Amino acid sequence: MNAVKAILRGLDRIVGFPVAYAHCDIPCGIYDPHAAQVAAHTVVRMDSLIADVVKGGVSSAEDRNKLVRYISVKEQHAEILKHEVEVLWSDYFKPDHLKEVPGLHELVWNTLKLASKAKQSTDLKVAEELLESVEKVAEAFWKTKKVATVRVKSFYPTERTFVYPKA
Amino acid sequence: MATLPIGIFRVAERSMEPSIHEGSYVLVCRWCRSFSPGDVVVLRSPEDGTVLVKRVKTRGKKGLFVIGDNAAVSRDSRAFGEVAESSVMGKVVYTA
Repeated sequence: MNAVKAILRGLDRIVGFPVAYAHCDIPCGIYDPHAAQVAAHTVVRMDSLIADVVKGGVSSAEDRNKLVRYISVKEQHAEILKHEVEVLWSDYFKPDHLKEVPGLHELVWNTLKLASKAKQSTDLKVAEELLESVEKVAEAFWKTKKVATVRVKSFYPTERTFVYPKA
Repeated sequence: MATLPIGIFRVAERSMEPSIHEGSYVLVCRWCRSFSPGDVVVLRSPEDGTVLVKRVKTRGKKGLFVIGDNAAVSRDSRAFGEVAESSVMGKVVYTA
């Protein structure tokens, strides 16, 4: 290491120079909180369908088959949601973004925990909390992109809401 | 620091290898506003506002076409097109 670099490194420790990214590709650039929201709606939908089939008594093999499939899809989509949110967290969000979204770490942590809770439970309220939390992640994402968002009624049987960037 | 003529940045990631190594420091002349092919510049990414360091390849109609020296791993004008000179923060005058 040359002397100039040693001095700069010492200064960097004290004042903290800004970072210029050389920007590695793969998979930079393609990030979207859309898929996580779709997964959250799927979890909500599965909890409703599970409640319906249970209400009917689950008396036939047909009903049992439905029940198992709903649970299986709920499990998968909670996992998809975790993966999608984790990618945003580890790859997209940069330290600078924390200034704009100070509670980001807590929000992500809560979302991932809610996803696990939604797997363990068939309580619609838990799924709704998960959806709300994911929508907050989506809003945080677009905020750091300086893109305004809008919460609209979703186009799914679950209704409720979905966060879209305002075009 | 925005008003100073010289800025210092630490370079992260490897897309400017071998000319700028990861962890190097670059001195940026903010008042150097004339850019020619071959210049290394610090700019704001038109995609997400991230501060990037790239080399100017050509001047185009809309601005500068910038590319990383380590083209295989660089995301640059090949992905986001030419960048307006107004988003270029300055020219790299020294690398350590």
